[in-house]
Amino acid sequence: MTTTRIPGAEVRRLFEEVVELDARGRREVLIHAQPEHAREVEQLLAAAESAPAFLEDPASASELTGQRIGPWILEQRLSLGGTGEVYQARRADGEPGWRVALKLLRLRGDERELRRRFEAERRSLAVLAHPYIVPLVDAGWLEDGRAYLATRLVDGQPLDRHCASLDLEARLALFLRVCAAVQHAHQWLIAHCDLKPANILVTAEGLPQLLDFGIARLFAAEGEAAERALTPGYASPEQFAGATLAAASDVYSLGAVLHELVCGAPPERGTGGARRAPSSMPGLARGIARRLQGDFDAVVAKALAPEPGQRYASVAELAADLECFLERRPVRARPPTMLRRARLYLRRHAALSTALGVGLAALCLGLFSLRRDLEHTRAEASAGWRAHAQAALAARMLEDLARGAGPGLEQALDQASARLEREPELPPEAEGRLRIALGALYLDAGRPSQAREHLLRARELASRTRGFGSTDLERLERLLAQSSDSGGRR
Amino acid sequence: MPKNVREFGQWTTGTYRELRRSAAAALAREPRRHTLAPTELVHEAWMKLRSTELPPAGHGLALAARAMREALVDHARRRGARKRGEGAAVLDLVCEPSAGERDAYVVALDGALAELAQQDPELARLVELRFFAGLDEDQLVRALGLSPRTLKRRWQLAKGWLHQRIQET
Repeated sequence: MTTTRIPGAEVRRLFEEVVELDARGRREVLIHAQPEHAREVEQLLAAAESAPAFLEDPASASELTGQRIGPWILEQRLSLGGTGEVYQARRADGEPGWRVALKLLRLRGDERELRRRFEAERRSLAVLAHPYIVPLVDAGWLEDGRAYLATRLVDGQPLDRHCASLDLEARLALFLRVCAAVQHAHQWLIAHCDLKPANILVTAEGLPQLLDFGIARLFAAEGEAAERALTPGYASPEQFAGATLAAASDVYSLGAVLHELVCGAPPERGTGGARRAPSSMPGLARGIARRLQGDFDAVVAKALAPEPGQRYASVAELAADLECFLERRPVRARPPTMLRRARLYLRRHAALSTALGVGLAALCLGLFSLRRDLEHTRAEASAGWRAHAQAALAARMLEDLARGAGPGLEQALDQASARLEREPELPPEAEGRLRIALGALYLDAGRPSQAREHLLRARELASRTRGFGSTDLERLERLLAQSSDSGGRR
Repeated sequence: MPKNVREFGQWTTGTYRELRRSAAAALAREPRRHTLAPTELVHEAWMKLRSTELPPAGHGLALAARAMREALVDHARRRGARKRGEGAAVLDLVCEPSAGERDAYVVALDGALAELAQQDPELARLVELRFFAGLDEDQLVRALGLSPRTLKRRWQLAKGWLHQRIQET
């Protein structure tokens, strides 16, 4: 028979030319072809169209659709994980349109022991009621030894994909909600044990929905099988070592998720616990990397500590520390030095709209650019002492200011001014910005003549360097005008 | 051959062997569960394979796809044989095929695909990777070096020819 041979080149060419056309288009092309070729092409087209639809699905995927599992009929496979396949399913006897996500578990081992654990797990999962935890609808043990869990079907996308369009603050806010849900479960003594972005869906409203609570535990005591339930990148070192799973493992996994949310990938599994800090990940915008340096790095490192005892004792603690980071308070993961406490204090109050707050913010900004400049200088200058002296100056000034309540703002300003006079080696941009900041503060403190002195010096510095932007210069001129106004009136 | 590709090949060969061994063992040990056990094992191996960082390239991919195909066909054949003896393959396509009909079709497809491979190995490879190994379009484009459009047309051609062949036998 001709068709047992693969068609010749001309038939294949014709077939590929017409296969995407509609019936009329096909006729128009084929009418010009040799009749036997045209007939062959038509037969092939007809066969391609009447071939069973399941050929379009991979054989590996369509294995179970249509089957009945307990009271459910499987409709479509949603995913295939290490712990089992997940199907969209409908009730065999119930309302049309009502759907669940049905997970078929592959449990291996002693059946009686598994059954016992499954029942225990099912009872404990039933108590979980939290808006961010996907509720269990049904669970059962089938005749043939398989087990299934049916949960509400969630329409959402995995956490990592959802976060791609969010800024840092929004990502962290979402992460904190995830923490709240995990913490809720921990209060019921239920650990998740397989937290990862794929198990955290986010709805269109931006709310997290945690899947698969406690399922990993069904696999926990099974040795080899337990390993199947682990997700590299998110599972804790002790999980890999086969130790009992506990809240500390969830803290670790949350740390890994946090790491991924901020820098795009879970942490590399550290040899000896040394991991790359999030702020040093390639591909981060420089501003974000700078923001993460220090406290955020420390929070993530504490969550990911190889020894469970060195991690946060609870998810609540991790969340609280992250909130501290967001609010620019000192984090527990990194006991603050005096200087850092001062800097955080200033940054925290940078948002206050009081005159003092604005002034402090200005000074703080000045000092920040100073610090940047100093870092720059440090990299260039082989004589490290100079940079050190400058850094120390900035530190002392900050401390004086932060102590605010002691000598008071005016004295702090005087001390800062005096230190500035004694320090001859500042880069002009840094000194200029500092003087602008001091000028603004003196104005706020009601001492325009001192303000004017600093501002005029700043103007002079600005004329000697190109390091000032137009906004710096505009602000300088505005402040100068103010200082002469108030000076004139007094 | 680059190191990681070689490792991938070795890994796959290991997986393949392991796969066959455990499938056979599972079938022998637990006839009651055998509707699922071997395919589960294949799925697991395949999902591991697909989630690995190593590039699914060349020989490794071919081996994995072959392992997948053999396991699935084997599975369909055993299940089909158990249910109704060696059965005919032609489907009644008016309604959704039953699992048994599908099994019979998969077995027939395997035979037709072997014939196709003798005449056009590339086209057979496309079917193996798509239907048995379950690669998606992106992966197929990369594995076969075809444009998405060409891929679609070739798939239709292969499907047409295979279905014709299956109905003839």
